Amino acid sequence: MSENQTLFTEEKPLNQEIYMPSDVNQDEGKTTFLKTKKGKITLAIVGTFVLLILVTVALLPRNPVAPEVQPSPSPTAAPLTTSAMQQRLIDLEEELKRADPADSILPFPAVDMYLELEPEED
Amino acid sequence: MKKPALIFFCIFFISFVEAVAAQDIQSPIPSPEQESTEFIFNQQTNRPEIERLKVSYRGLIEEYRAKEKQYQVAKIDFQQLNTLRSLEEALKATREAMVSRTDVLLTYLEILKLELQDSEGVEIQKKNDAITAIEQQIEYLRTFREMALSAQDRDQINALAPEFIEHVDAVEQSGYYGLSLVQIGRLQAVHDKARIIETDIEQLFATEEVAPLAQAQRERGLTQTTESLEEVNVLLRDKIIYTSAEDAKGSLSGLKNDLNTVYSKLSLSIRYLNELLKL
Repeated sequence: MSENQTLFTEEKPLNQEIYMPSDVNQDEGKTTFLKTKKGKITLAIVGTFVLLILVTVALLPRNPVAPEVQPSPSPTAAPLTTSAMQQRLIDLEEELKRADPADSILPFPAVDMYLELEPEED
Repeated sequence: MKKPALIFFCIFFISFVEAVAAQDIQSPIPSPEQESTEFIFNQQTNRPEIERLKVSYRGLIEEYRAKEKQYQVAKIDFQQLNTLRSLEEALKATREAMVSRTDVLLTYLEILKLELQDSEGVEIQKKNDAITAIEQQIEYLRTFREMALSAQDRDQINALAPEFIEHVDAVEQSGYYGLSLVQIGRLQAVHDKARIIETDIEQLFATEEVAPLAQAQRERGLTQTTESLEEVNVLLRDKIIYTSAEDAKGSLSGLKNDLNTVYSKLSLSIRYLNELLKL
């Protein structure tokens, strides 16, 4: 039992443990490490790596936009006018001339299918 | 030592990033619709190749005529003289004539195949069958050409003739059938286009207001044109149905006569369409 009964058992003076020498020592350690050659190299590698990640993020398109595909020319309906019809009929007459069975395509070649040097012996 | 490693690492990393980025912006895979459009546009691309082959074909025919003459002369010489020298000449001339004949047939079938591929008015199943038959004969002719080129002595040259004769029917059949289909298909394509124009004229008439007399004339004219085109259609349909690979050679002259009739009737139908536009 304490002699002074106005004091609590676990009472401690307020803000008495502000000074923390161990933390200061850690900071000092960090500063010292960064000043060493090894520390500088590590810092450079980490810095470069972070920079490269940033470059990657910048280069990669977030929403890749597909190149615009030009619509293929769709066959449009021919205008229903007399002159347009006449032109189509002129074209059709030309096509009919090309389709003339009398002279439209190469005939089967007239070659001798039975070329032989000597008749086959039975 | 560490600086070069660091630079190398940076270059590698940037290259990797660029490659990934490039992949992402590649053009998308073409949709089936795009592919089918491409197919449609590529369908009529055989014309330049056909024209090139036709030029080559004319040269090959001339060459064949010359080789055939040499063969006939050499063969007669050999039969009359029967010397070693005349035999050598005859062997050489026979081989060259056979190779030249094969070149002519090969080129002809190639042209026919391309013509068929471009043909619009031919039923797809018949067209594919005809193309397959032509391709088989092209393959055989290529093999025969190699055999003829490698034949050197009398026995080998003599063996070529019966070997080829076995395939003559198949070669001719594929050629004559393809030829028939191309000719029918061309007229069928003209008929189909004439039908479309006729329908369009009918639609044009429906939008115009004319006097009752002219209207009656137009209606009679349309009826007459429809009947004329239907007659052509029936004739062509019969030709397509009854033309077969087996008798294509024998029926070619008959087919030509029938197609001449179709041609005349189509010509008349187009004249009707021209007249209709003036009513």
